Amino acid sequence: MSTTHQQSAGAPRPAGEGRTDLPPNHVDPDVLEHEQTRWTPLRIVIWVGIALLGAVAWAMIAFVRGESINAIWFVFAAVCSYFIAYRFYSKFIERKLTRPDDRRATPAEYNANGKDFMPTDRRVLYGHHFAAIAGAGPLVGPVLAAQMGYLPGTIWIIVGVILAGAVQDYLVLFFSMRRGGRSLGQMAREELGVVGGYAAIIATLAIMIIIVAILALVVVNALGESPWGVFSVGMTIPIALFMGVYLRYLRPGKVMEVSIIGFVLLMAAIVAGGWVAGTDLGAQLFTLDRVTLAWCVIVYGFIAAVLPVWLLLSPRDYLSTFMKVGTIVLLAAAIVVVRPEITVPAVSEFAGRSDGPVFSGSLFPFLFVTIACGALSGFHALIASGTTPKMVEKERQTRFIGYGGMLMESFVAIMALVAAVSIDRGIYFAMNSSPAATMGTVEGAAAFVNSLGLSGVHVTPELLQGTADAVGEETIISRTGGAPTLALGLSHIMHQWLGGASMMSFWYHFAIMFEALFILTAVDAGTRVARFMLTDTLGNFIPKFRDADWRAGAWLTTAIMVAGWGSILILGVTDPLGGINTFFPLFGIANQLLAAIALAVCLAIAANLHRFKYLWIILLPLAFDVLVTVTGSWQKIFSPDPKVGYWANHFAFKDALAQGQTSFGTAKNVEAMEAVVRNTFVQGTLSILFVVLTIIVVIMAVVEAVKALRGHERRTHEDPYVESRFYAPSGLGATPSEKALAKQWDALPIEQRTPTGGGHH
Amino acid sequence: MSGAAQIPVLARVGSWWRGALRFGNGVLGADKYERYVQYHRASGCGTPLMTEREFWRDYQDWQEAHPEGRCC
Repeated sequence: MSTTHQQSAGAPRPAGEGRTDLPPNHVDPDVLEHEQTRWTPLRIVIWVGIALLGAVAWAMIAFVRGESINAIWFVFAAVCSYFIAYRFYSKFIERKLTRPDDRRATPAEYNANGKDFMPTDRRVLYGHHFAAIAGAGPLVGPVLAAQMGYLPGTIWIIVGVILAGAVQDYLVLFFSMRRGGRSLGQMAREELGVVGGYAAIIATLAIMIIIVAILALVVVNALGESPWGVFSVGMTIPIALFMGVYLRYLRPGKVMEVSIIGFVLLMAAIVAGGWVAGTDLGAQLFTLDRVTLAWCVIVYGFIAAVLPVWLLLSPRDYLSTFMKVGTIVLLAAAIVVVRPEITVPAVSEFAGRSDGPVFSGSLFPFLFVTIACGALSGFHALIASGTTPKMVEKERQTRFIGYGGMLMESFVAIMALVAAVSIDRGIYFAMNSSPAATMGTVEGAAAFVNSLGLSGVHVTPELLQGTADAVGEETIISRTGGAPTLALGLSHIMHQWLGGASMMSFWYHFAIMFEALFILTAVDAGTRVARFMLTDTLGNFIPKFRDADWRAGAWLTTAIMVAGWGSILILGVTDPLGGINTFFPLFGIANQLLAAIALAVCLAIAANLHRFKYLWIILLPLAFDVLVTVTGSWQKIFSPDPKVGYWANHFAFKDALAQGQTSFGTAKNVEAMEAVVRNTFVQGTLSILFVVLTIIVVIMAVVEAVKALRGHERRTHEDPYVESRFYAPSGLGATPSEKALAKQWDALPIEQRTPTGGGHH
Repeated sequence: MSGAAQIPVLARVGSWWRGALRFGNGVLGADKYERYVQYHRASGCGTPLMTEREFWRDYQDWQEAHPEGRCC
């Protein structure tokens, strides 16, 4: 098969060499453009309507200051903005920057292997991609950011996704697709040279470790002292094992069937959790402190990563995907049906300060790192390169899957924000302030929250205890990490729609369950992916690591990865300053730095394609992201304010110890003070490592871009051109000429179509 | 309602349901064997066709060395 001939654009012509019997492999771009973007009276009416509704919704959120605001306006503002961004901005990027060519075969076509390289129907792939990128991240960040009021978070989630997050996902997906589905690390090495490439790989590994650690910390905080939660989440392990055995030996391939069985068992586990926690023995057995739980998660993580994939990891992934799509649809429907009234101020007292109890630091830059997933998430670049690009049928579909998929995740973040701000503000702060501030008691929490001097906030110990009782928990005080707050918000919304007050505790534990499920799936998969990255890198020096059958090597590298995130998890749960409050910014910064690396690689690629006039599409989010993360890291490293700066805190505690003090700040004894010294050292060191590696990568990318600008010619790293022997429409729907052409291809016998016959329905 | 009018409605609900099921199976990855069979036919049947059981075992073993990331 020829891989070199490249025709000029123009009229469609039959695909394939000398196979004039095949229909064309693309719709004439001019015809398509005309059909997609021509202004008909109906379209004008629809788009004016969307723009007006969006404008009204934004005005309601941003300017109208009544007693309360209805949550439905958040939905309208978000959805209308997404439609406009998708139709106009992503189309602009497609036309000017990516310029997809449907005559060109995708890796799914020319590398088809019936396994990972498989052309997949675009709508199915959209769902698949979304399920892979979305998890607990967009559910947790917005909850913590609600400390500053709903407006800053809402603006960043919506504007950020349009100009940054969705752009990153789309471009990484597109460029990786052009490169045979290569991973971000491989692309970095090709585009940025050895130094930039290794910096990118080390940064990616380190960032994955911190991200897994903080996600695990969120789970541990949600399950600590909660026998109900521990029982029902713990039951997911035997359920997954059962599903694995079922799929391996009893009825192989019946994935939907076993997922439904698993789902029913999961619901039963939630209900049973309530009974078990109600008995003395159950409460005794499953009330675990956070340190014990952290060790359980670490041991679990190691075992899950070395067990055969079919036994635990893959059935758990089916369950997680099944729950993900279901719960998100459920949550969206509930918000539309219930339309909760929101009484939280648009911009809270903490927006102008840097000493908020939920996370410390000023709005700029820390709001932008606290909400990472949902607005801009670097982690997505690992899915958008490597996994999804190997399944894309046609180049034009990347806009729908990459840009559109990220818009959906942003919508999840908006719903999480709505859930968080729909609960009472006093309860919100009682749940999210560190145990050092609330003393872990309802009286202490009430006193602390009332002392914050927030307008309209007055909580009583009875209210706090009553809320805990309503959701079937011992306590809701200092349940930091975002997951319990979201669960409370969700149960608050859901019980108004389904089940009434008696169902609140079910919905609370339902939410805890799915968050834990998403996170544990990400922990399993993250550990495995990181382990393979490590063996790959080590394999460059010690070839034996490349041998996939070498069990000792697999165990060793898994142990290294688990030790990496496990040690940070232990530091987090034992942190006298509250764990999440100090560690979460590190999670956000790490994720955003990964985004900077991904955007930097895209910048170098686009510059080498000589698309100089439109490089600003990448430079804009890259510059903002670098500004945010470098400022954030700078403050975390150099700020003299011990509430913000890791090192300032480190030296303050060190000095106190040197002076022989036995308590300092929130640390009540010498041991706690030593823990602070240790933790701030780790946090400060990681901050320096991340930011230095990222700056190296960004500088390398800018050097590459400038070289290209000066006319330095370089060979492309794109895979060679292969003429496509297949056709599929590009967007959610199909235009008339797309439909007509798809019909012609559908009429062909499967042997004459693409090597796979397509996953085309 | 007349019987003639009911059939198209039922047919439409049926086809909508089948579409939804196909979508769900696709997202979950439950249709992998079906698509492998298609792939096998389309690629010219160079190797003997695996049975469903063989295929899934082969796929699971392959997964062992090809981890797929899951995001936060």
